[in-house]
Amino acid sequence: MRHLDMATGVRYSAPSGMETLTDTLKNLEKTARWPGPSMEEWRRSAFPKEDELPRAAGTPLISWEIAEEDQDAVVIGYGIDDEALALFRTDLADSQTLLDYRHRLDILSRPGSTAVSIRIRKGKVLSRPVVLRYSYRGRDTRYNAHTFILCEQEADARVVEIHDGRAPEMFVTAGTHASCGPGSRLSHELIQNLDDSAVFAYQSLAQTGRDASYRSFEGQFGSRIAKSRMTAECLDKGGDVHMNGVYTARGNQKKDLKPVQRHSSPRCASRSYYKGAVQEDGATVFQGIIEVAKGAFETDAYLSNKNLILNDGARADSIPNLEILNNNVKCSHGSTTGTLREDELFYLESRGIGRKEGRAMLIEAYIEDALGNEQGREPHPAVYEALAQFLKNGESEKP
Amino acid sequence: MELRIHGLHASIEGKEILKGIDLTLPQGEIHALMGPNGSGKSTLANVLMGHPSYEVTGGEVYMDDIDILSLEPYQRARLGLFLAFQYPVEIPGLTAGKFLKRAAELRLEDGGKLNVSSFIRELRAHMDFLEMDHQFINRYLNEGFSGGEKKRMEMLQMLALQPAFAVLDETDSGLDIDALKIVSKGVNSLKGPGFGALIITHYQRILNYIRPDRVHVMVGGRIVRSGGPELVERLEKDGYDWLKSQAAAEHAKV
Repeated sequence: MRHLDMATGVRYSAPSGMETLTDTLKNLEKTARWPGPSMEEWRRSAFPKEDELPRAAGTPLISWEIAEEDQDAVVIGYGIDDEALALFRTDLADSQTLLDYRHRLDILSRPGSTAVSIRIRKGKVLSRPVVLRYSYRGRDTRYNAHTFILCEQEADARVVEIHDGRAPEMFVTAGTHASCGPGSRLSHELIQNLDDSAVFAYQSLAQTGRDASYRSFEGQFGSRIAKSRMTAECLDKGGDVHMNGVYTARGNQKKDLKPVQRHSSPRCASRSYYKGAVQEDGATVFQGIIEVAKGAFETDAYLSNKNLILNDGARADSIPNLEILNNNVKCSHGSTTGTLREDELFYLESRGIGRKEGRAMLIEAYIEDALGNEQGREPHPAVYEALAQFLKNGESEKP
Repeated sequence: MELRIHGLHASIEGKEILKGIDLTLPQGEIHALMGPNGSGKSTLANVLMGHPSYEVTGGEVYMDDIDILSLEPYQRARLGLFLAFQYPVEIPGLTAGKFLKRAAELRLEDGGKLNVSSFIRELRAHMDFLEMDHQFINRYLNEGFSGGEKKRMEMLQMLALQPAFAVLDETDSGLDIDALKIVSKGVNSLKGPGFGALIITHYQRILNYIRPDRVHVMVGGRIVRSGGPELVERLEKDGYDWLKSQAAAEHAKV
């Protein structure tokens, strides 16, 4: 595995006569509102106002890894906007949507100067994950990063997208648009581990073609405030979606996650399974939703959220939602909140495992089943690195 | 080495359960602790290991010259004290193998390094001995295990950790005869000069397979009678009632 130089990426040429989304968004940007408590989804986010966030714009360092044997199967594009969009628009004929541009923050996170597209060629099965890393390094800087993943017909790929960086007071907006061609299998894993002072806003939209399978994993570990909305939309029959997520909040961290299982076509199945752990004064909000459009009959969808509250003062709100505009569907959700059990800690202690370590083991065990986004697939090591920070922080507590 | 319990009093939520326990268990011996339900047997097991729900209100427990009551449970474990739980907890997400490996590592003095391949080899041998499927260590700890499987897992841990003293808290309860034989085999295989065991049981059944050197009978939070293996037969024949009335009479005199 080697790092590719950005220069080896391919630039797409824009089809002529294409309406440019960027221009539309630029106009919207002038009039759209900043999200705030008056919007239901943002009511609990504690998201800063625009004038509280850094204004100076920076460019992240981007690196990616592709296995040697997969080089011919993957095309990487860099520095794209309307050109890549065109490619995505033509892939799924029914797709009218890109990301949801609902307000000023969404518009800020539009594909701009920093955009990477990953195209997995038709029928290709990648041997190793493609790992794309955005590293942010400037203090008091605003960043935007955008990723396009095009998994062509019958292709099979795993894409790991990492956002990290230790500089203080950064503001990062990021978005991903994934398109899963007919019969393809895509696993998209987002790992956010920015500095504890950062503000992170993320949205993604993945759309499945006929009989396509989409797996997502979202690991939200870093940042002072992280707001995320990942949407998986079944656009054609036979779509199969699994969304997993793990999030942690410690110190004064706030996390607000909203996986959206959107059924726009009949006979699709979706599952989401999100687990959170909060300690100290951390706070999390989970607002996952199953949306079933008119005509999406025989939908089979389940949404599950579980939270572990590790001390008094930490808070986890779970607000799962169903929005069903159709009969003949099977949709349900479940939510639990718990704490570590004394008898489990004692059991580990009785085998010589100290309390702090036992506590860490139990937290790790708790979230274990939400970590792998598919059976037998090891999570990327960055997940464990981020998790270790969370577990270590808990050690400041009394034994 | 000796495990010495002297004048031990303990309570839970303000209610006194142990009312002065005296018992000495030397290494090389196996003792049975019997008694009716509610006599405090399991409380003694938990107090020895240091369960935080119990409050020790008097007395002392020493492993040789170390006062273990002042130690945290994990420190007692690292000294070589082992408790086989009556109800082992289930921990989904933590594989039995990972758990056992960590426990074995911590048993090594001065942070010595565990030889993983020989550890696994020994573990497999122990599993064969206990007639356990090797896949057990890949499963989540006790999750979905039957009662018998949980008790075998306790025995596997005991064999892997080679404790100086083991307290078996009603390990025999709920076991069929085959599982009981296997549990007994586990204890008997450790029997020797470096191992002492306290078998807490309600029934004499397990003592058909593990022959105790001493038998103690606990009633109402006190040890009311100690003796040789013949005591088991008397209990089997006459039950606990004769000891209960005897204990009540003695207590009235005090």
